[in-house]
Amino acid sequence: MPYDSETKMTGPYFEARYSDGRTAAARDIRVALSKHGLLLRQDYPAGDEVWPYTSLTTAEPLSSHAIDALISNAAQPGASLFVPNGSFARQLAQLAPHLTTRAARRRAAVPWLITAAVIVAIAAAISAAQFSPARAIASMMPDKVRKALGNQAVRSLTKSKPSCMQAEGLAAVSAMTRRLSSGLDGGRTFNVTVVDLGLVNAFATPGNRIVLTRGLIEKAGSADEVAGVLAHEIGHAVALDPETGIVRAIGMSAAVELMFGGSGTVSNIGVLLAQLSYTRQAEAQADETALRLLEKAGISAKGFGQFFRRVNKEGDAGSDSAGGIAGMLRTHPPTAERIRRVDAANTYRATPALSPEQWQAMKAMCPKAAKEDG
Amino acid sequence: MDDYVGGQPYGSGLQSRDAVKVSWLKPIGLLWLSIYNFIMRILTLGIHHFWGKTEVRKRIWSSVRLNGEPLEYTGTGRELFTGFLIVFAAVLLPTMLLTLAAVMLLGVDSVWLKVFQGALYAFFLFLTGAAIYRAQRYRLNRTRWRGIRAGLSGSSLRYAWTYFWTLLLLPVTFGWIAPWRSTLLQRIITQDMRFGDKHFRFSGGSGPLYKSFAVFWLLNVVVIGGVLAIIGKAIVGSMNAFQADEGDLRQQLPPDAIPGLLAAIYGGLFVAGLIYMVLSVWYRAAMIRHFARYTHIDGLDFKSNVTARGLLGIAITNYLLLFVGALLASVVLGGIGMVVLGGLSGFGIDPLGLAQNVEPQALAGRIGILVTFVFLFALGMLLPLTQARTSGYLVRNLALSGTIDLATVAAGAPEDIRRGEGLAQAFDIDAL
Ligand SMILES: [Zn+2]
Repeated sequence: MPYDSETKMTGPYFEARYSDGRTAAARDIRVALSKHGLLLRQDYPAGDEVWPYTSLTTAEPLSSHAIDALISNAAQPGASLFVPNGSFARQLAQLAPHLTTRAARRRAAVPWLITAAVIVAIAAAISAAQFSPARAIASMMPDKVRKALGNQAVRSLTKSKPSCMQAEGLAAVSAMTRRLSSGLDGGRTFNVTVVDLGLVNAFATPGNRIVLTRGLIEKAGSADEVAGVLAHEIGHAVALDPETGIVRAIGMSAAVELMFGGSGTVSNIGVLLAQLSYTRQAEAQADETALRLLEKAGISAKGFGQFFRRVNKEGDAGSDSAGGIAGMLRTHPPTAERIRRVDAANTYRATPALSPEQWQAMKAMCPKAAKEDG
Repeated sequence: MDDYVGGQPYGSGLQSRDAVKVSWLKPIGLLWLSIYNFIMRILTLGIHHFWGKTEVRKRIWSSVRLNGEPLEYTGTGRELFTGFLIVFAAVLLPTMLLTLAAVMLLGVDSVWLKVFQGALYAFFLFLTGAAIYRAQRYRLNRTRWRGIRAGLSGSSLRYAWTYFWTLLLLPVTFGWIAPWRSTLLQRIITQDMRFGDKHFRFSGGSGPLYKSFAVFWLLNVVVIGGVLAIIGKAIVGSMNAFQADEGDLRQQLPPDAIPGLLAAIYGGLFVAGLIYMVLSVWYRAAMIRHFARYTHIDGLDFKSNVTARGLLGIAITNYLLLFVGALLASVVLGGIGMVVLGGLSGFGIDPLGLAQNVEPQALAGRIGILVTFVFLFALGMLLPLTQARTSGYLVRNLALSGTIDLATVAAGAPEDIRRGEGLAQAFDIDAL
């Protein structure tokens, strides 16, 4: 239908180039901004044509400093119109506001801003409700997987270092472990390994495994101190903290991947397993479990507190002692708060965690320690 | 003189062979767009990245003018995002889980784990080739001029395979396969490339590029080898002078000699790196000119006039821009972070564990990691600006000679590519 008059024009004509999208040829035409849409004045072969404003699209949105406009018509795919005139672009922006940079940005940003706000709100709600999705996933992990993860972690951490296998020492360790875990329901068993490492550390791995270092046993002043630390690690294992840590690390690396638009940091599982430090709540809970287990086993909690103080003193002294307690300080900072809670534990009838002979055997169970003694 | 003698019909055909002039119209407001995208990326937890990138591309594409008319980029953020999600779910996540399973089943020390990781690495090298090709295809497919779409019609697997086996030969040939390899890969891409229904052609071999490569290779060997030799000599010399027989070098040297030696080593490495950068930019300029010289479409011949000096100038100023931008952004983000931490501690929330009785060293370590993370993240802030500068330089130095009958360039058959270049996105190999 030919457009019949110029009386409905809102402005003058603009020079433009028109391509029909069938070939790369173009021809000069004149366009104008009418009330109903963009008016294309064509002499030949067709008559005038109107592109309604609502069906206009532009690849590049119209900005306020545009010096031209390249326009397509959704109803006529392929056809395009290039108008090299900044004033035309600004007038068109008024008539077809959906083509402006501002509108395009709003379309791109608003849904994701809302999504992000919802995600943050959910995350805040979850953490306020003390619900941890990572912990939920960890508790669904089959035992087989937990065991395999634990074996892997222990093997990778003790790679070149022999574990301490001296028989009487092993017997002492397992006696202490049994005594502590007898306080748990369900008859859970723990596999405790002592590694021939000089640095002072202790940690739980997935699958109810616990690793103590020779350095820790040497640093401890009594079997009660070791029992305190061991009870604490049992606390972590019971709460599935190591499993949760691994799930969380995998989730974090996925999130980082997204944050960086996927910069190809493809999955280094070693990194995941290496650095697990727990939240303050997890630590407090492990301490609580430890105190409960110590009480049920009839082992004094004083040793636990003593060990804290020992570590703290070394830390303040600058610690370049051969053992090196930096690791312990980093993963288990003995804060004033923790010491206060341990000191406030109930008093009850207690016997030493190990007999003097057992304690000697534990201290001498590593090859290095044995060599130094002899 | 009538060029169209003999059998040419009168009318449309006669006047229709066009020359094409390429020009670059400097985009306005890219600095602000860079900052806007950076802020939005933070506020949307990273998701806006794909939409931001799309807007940047629209700007850069439209700055490229052929006979004064802009290129059009018709891709969308949604396409890039879904492409990324699919690759994440189909490639990255399975790889993570597979690696985890392999570590658990085989053990950390197992030889089979090494074999598995080697195979995985090889597979990823292969995927990189596919990613390059598919990213190129997506971008061309979303590029229009006068409503006519460009495209890449070939097999990404063929390209990936060529990319892979020639890559394996690189070390074996001490790099000497490189010019032949890059020319081969460029030829595949160029010959698969089309504008409408017109295919591009690639008309040459790698021969001429070898002259530049030989200079590049020999100079590298001589200069870098020389620098390393001087460093080595300095180390050996100082060792001899102080009669270090067994123990640690540090303990044997007097303390005041160490800074000088370290300065010599790092200074030497820095100089070697700088020389390598200049030489490789010089070779890259030669390569770009080489590729352009052999690229044609219809009656149009490409020619690039990029120079090593020009490319180097752009590269250095770009690095400076990114660095300064990251510095400013880090300062601002650090300030905001401090305010937020202060606010949170008002509610008893302490994400960094500042209130815990942590030894200062550990705390400094934690903050150091955070600052590094923020700085690395902020390094990307002004990327749109630097990408536009690089594109501008390349386009300003591109010329098309000869003519093309634009009326005979017909729109190609529509292709169905709904997703963006997820693979390239995931591998971070897309330049723009
Ligand atoms: Zn703990």
